[in-house]
Amino acid sequence: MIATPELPTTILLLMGLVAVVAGALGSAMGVGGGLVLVPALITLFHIDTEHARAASLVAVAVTSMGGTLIYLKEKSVDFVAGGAMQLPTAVGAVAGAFLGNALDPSVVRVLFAALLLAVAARLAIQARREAGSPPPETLPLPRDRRTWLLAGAGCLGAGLVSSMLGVGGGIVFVPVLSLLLLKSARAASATSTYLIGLTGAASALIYVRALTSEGPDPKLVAIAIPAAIGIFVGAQLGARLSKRISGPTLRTAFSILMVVNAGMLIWKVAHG
Amino acid sequence: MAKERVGVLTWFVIAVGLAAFLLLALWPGMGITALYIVLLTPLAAASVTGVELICDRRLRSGSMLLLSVVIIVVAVLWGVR
Repeated sequence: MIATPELPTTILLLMGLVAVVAGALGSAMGVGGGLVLVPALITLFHIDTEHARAASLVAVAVTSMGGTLIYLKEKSVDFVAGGAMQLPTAVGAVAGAFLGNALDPSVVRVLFAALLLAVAARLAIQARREAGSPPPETLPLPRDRRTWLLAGAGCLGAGLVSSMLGVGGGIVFVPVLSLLLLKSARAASATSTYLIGLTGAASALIYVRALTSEGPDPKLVAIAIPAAIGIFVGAQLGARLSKRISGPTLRTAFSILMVVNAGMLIWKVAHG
Repeated sequence: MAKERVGVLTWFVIAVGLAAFLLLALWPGMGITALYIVLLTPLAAASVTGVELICDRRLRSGSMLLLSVVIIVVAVLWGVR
């Protein structure tokens, strides 16, 4: 239905399967599927950076919307923090899309590899520290201006990185919300998911418009739809997977995968 | 509007947008429409949340959310080429 001569149905099905795995791993780790999907599309399927990034952001937006539906029903989303943080996040996302379109694709790939290595390091450290520490309590939102400014700056940066590289940004949003704004882990995840939906959609819209400015782009549709559906399905599986496997084991395995992905991206930049 | 009502309309907008995406994504020739619908849904949902918050007298959060939507719409319409 959406296959093209360049991307036949078999490839699209494989892409969908990879997106399911990406969604499951990303959801189980709480970092979103984009961190796995973008390198996989570029290195395994030889998709160009622009299409991989746009498809990943569509998938990020879809997954975030699915998660937001659950969190809204639970009433876990903090609209006061979310509403205030959405403004710097949106500004960052728009700036990131401008930068992302202006930068050379190989530069974007190198930046992505750097992000993967940073995430791998953070997860590895977290896996070591995680020995039975109790979950943080829910505390009231802070009132001092400095904390809100710091959180705003964090969200601006998260929006920028998310938009430029085509990832969700949860890896920054959750720590900012849980550490600076003192929310519980659940409320931080819920509010982060809510923020990511609008950020991902905004950046994706800018990229989709740029890609379709000279006419329809069947390749974009062919990549984005299996990616979005695959990641959406994978995210549901990931939530269950995280309950069965211990956190430290999963984080160590994921950080190794991130290092491998970073290596593959660098290799791709070096060898074209 | 009662405090706990914030988010109800937002939930409805997101649910409709996601359902429309899943339906249209598998409909031959409607792929790009499906993409635009699913990408415009968070903007619509954020606008609704903004109005819900303002009605709930949380003016600052609501107006910041609405301003975010305006910034994004302007960027998409006039921005990257």
